Amino acid sequence: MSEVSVITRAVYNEGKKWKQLSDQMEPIKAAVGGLDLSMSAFFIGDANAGGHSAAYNGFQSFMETVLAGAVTEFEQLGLALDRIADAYDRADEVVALNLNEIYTA
Amino acid sequence: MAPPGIGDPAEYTGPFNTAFNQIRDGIKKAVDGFNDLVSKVNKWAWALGAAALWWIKSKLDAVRDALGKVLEKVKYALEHQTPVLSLINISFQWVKQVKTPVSELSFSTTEPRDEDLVRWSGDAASAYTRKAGQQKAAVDEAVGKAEFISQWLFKIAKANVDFAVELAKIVTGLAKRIVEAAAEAGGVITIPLVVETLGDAVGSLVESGLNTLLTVGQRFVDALGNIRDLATQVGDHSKLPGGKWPEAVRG
Repeated sequence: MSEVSVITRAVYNEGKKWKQLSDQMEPIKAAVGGLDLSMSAFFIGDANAGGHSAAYNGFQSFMETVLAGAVTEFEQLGLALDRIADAYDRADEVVALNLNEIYTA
Repeated sequence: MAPPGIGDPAEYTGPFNTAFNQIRDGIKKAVDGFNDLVSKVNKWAWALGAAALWWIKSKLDAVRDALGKVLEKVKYALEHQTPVLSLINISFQWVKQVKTPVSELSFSTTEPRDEDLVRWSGDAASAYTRKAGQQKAAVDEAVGKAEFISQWLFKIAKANVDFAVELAKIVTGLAKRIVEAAAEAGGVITIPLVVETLGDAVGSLVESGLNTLLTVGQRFVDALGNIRDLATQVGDHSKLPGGKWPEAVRG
């Protein structure tokens, strides 16, 4: 097996890894969406829980947004690695690549 | 009680629910005991005389008022028992469903799937290594944030458990005194004595109990101060530029 085909295979496998990581992150992101708390869930005493509740809701949606970003980025990184491997495969050697094109979805 | 990640939600929900069972049980005993005492007073009213009866009635009114104050707290607490259980559970879910599974992804981000990847070199390879490193940093940041929110909820959960336990102590103490008083009140001589002792005991029991509840309640309110921490957690964008996951690929 030539050096370039070994590298091409390794890069394809690396791309597969990121697509799997994206699949693993998806249910975690969904779980965060399910961790809702109503305002009445904060205290059994008669204290105002409005601030606590608003802070929690903000944090929860921040985490959901961030992890949704991870799902997207992992998938796109996987596809970018595919594009690199494709280019090596076509060229039969490790060629110089336009990385701006590679890393644009 | 162990924090989430080490412990089990039952370490919180157990004492929490036990306290609520004691509260329910205690309130019933206190109310029944009070009614029992009042009916005994009524039974002996003819022998007590108007002046003594007026004095007894004013003492019993004070007991009723104290009981009413506690009942108000109990009513509010009972309405929130189930929702707060969900907070306790969710405190643990942040570890189980988010922190742990995200942390399991961390190692994979920079560990090549194929050992031969190390043979890849050049600009494209180093650009990839840099991007993988940024992704790993963001994964680790997300792990820290999940841990943080879990701990924040844990503090609040603990204040709730303590509040329930304190409230149960007040109710149980109150019930004990009232039931004892009702049992001892048996005639013209004992009734005024019993009522006086009860009035004094209930007054101080409720006053000190409510003060303790205020202190515990303050700990809940103080957790709001941690909102600044919470805001910092959301606002720390070093690993999550612009509060978003770092873009590996534009678009």
